[in-house]
Amino acid sequence: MFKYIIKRILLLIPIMLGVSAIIFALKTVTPGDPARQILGNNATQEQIEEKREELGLNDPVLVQYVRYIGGVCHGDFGNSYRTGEPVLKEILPRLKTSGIITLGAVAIGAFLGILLGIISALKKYTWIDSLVLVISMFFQSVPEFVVGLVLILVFAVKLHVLPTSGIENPLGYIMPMLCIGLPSIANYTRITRSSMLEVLGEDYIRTARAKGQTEHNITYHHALRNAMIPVAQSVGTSLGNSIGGGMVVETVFGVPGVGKYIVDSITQRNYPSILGGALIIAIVLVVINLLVDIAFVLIDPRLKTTIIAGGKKQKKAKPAAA
Amino acid sequence: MKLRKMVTMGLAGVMAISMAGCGSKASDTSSNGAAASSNAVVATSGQAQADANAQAAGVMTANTDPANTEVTDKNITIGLASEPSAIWGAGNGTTENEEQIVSGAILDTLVAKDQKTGDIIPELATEWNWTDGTHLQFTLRDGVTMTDGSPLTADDVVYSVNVWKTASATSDTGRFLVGATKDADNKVTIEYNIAAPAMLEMMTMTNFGIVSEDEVNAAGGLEAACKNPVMGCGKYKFKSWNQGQNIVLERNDNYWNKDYKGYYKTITFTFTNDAAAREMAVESGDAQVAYDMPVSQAATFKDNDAVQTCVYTFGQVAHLWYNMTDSHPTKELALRQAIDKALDFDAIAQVGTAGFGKPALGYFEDDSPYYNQTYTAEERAVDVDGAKKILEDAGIATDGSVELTAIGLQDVNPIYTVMQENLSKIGITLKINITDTPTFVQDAFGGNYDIIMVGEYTAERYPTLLCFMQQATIDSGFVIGGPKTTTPEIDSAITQLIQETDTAKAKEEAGALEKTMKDQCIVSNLYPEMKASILAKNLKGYTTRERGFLDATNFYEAE
Repeated sequence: MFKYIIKRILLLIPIMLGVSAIIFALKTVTPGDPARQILGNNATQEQIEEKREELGLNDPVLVQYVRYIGGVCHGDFGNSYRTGEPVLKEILPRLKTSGIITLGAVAIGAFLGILLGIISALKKYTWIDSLVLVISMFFQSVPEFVVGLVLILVFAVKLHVLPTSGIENPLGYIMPMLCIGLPSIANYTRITRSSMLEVLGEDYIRTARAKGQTEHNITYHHALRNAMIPVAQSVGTSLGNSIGGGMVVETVFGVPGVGKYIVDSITQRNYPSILGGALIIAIVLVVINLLVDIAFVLIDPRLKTTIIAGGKKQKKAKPAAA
Repeated sequence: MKLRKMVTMGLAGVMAISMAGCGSKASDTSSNGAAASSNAVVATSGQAQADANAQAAGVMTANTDPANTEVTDKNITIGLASEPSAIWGAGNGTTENEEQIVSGAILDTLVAKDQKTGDIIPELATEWNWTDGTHLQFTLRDGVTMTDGSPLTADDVVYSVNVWKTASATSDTGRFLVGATKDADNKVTIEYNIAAPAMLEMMTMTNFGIVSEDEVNAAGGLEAACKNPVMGCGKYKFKSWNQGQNIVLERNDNYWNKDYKGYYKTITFTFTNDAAAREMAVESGDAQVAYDMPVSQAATFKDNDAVQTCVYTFGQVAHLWYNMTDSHPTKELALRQAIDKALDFDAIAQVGTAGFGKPALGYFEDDSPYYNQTYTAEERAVDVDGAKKILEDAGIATDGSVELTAIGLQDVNPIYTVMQENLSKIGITLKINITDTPTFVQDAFGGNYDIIMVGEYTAERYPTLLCFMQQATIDSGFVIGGPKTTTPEIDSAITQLIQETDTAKAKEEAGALEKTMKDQCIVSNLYPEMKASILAKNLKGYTTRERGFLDATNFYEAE
């Protein structure tokens, strides 16, 4: 287990290098001079050159890249071109905001998805099953920004129960959470449904029925618990994936999260912020996925085979010598 | 069979209902259109007319309501499109629209501009006079108290000028300044490096807000003060900045001008990029103002009873520049003249102003003292045959083989599309290259275009006036757009125009210069640009500062 954790942490290195190398490459091929961006359009060529020298932009790209990576190793992700503040200082509070929204979104998506999945499995091949499928697919098909604007229209403009934007009022978290959470319902519904159907067909469920257990007991105590393992894995993965995925939603709802930070930085060609944001999200994603994997191995030791051994079959023990 | 019949009948029913819906919609539209045209003012040209058209179409314009007379404990929330990187931009050389809106409420300037009359009026200075072409002396007002309770002094003005000059050396705030000297306790002279009477008007801009050195130091120094500007002597005081959330200002109850009444106790600025979400915040009551809406989008709310639409011109005219350097087909006068004849300026103005504006008949905006009507309405009418004849006479192909490139940001795409359609009628192919801002800036600086749309603020004769044809700016390579070439005659005519002290003469000189521009077809004047905001239904007092920036301090609620 320890070896596995170390291995996963070491995997961060190529991931970080890959992400940073791609964005660095993009930075070099896209037009626009950062020095001019900082100094404005009226700066003289001398001032621009001075700034370029100060920022190290005249050095070869590889030298710039190595210098940047060296800084990252010391927790220095550079300073924002726009505000002059350290990128890490700007991102950390935003990461917390995005984290809260992600947790809420995953909770909403998982709760509704599991509920619909159970209903769908119990009412398989009926019109209720079809209706559940249609509802979950609907939320998955509609783009997030449309869901966002419809939510604002209904809950803020018409009903006046939620604020249109911002998170100063804690109620402001609800709509962004719904907006990110609702499209994931379909995924949870599908997994729950298929997992429930599989478990309900198992021998031990038949045995429980034969022993005279009530359907309620069979469904919720025997079937659901076992059916939840793949669902819980999916929830864990979603946590990691959603942390930087709220870019559109954060923009629509004016939420100061890391997604909006990156979108704003992209439009401003604020490379240190884009680079820092992408790297920090990558780190968070890998760490969350690692924690989720460890948690599941601890909860269900059977998963050691699939997660730690990477799905490889355990070597059969040699038969004892006669 | 029965089922099929029922489905068919059902579909037929749905179609019938849909068509009836379409029919009623269409008739609604036509009746609205008729009403709109019957109300419409017969427009001649430009800015004033665009504002009049907006009013006739049932939307409000800026700077028309009487001043507020009541003081309350209410809060107003104003939705801005983005969060500024600093609040006191002059302190760190930034000039962002949002920053100027916020700092305009906190910092007062030496002089102000009456947005209704266009007159320069006293603010922190009661009097001013040019001691020579480059020295402007101000007499400071007594009884002005800064945020820290200290009185306004000449030293504060000298300190402020030094900050503008050094911290904003690369922007228009600092690059025309030489320095300032204290002549007496209440007299300061500011020296400029260019003789331009409009420097006085320039001092009304929010960037030139006065601060004191003690306040800046108390705020933690120059850099810290840019983000925590507890300073100045404006109508409102900085209260808090919750990064990513909002900026809150509080009414300055110690404001020097006792005639001014701030209706709202606090002003909260929020930041929402999405224009639709900004508008819905007003509709829901979360905000009272959604600032800087796309005009075409704002126009769709004019019949919405829950909000008011405010559309207004702001002294800027959109121009179409032709790249006249050697490697571009637009270096040919005949081609430029043909394009100018083929363009449907009326349609372009309609698209650019959501139907409120009319084609500009001069380079300057028509409220400007230097406005000359260079073109007649007839000259602005589409003349495809005339354009074709010019091309044929000049031996320029009309089979689509002449390909021009237009560059711009997303907002000008619909206008370029109209031009593309116009030019296709004379056999010219227009390639539209829509990019993001940094690419646009790079291409516009580098001259990677044949035609380019750029707006210029033409209400005054700042030293930057007609910078597109100033030799110095062309040489520096840092002018967005323009012909990328000029002549000594044009260059000196611009200098003369900027330096002219006599307004009537300046108008004549502007007219002569415009005639040259017309003869050489250097630029096609398009339309007065407009800004738009959405306001709460009962909100009054929408006022602006320079370049149409919102003045957040004058709002009040109607009875």
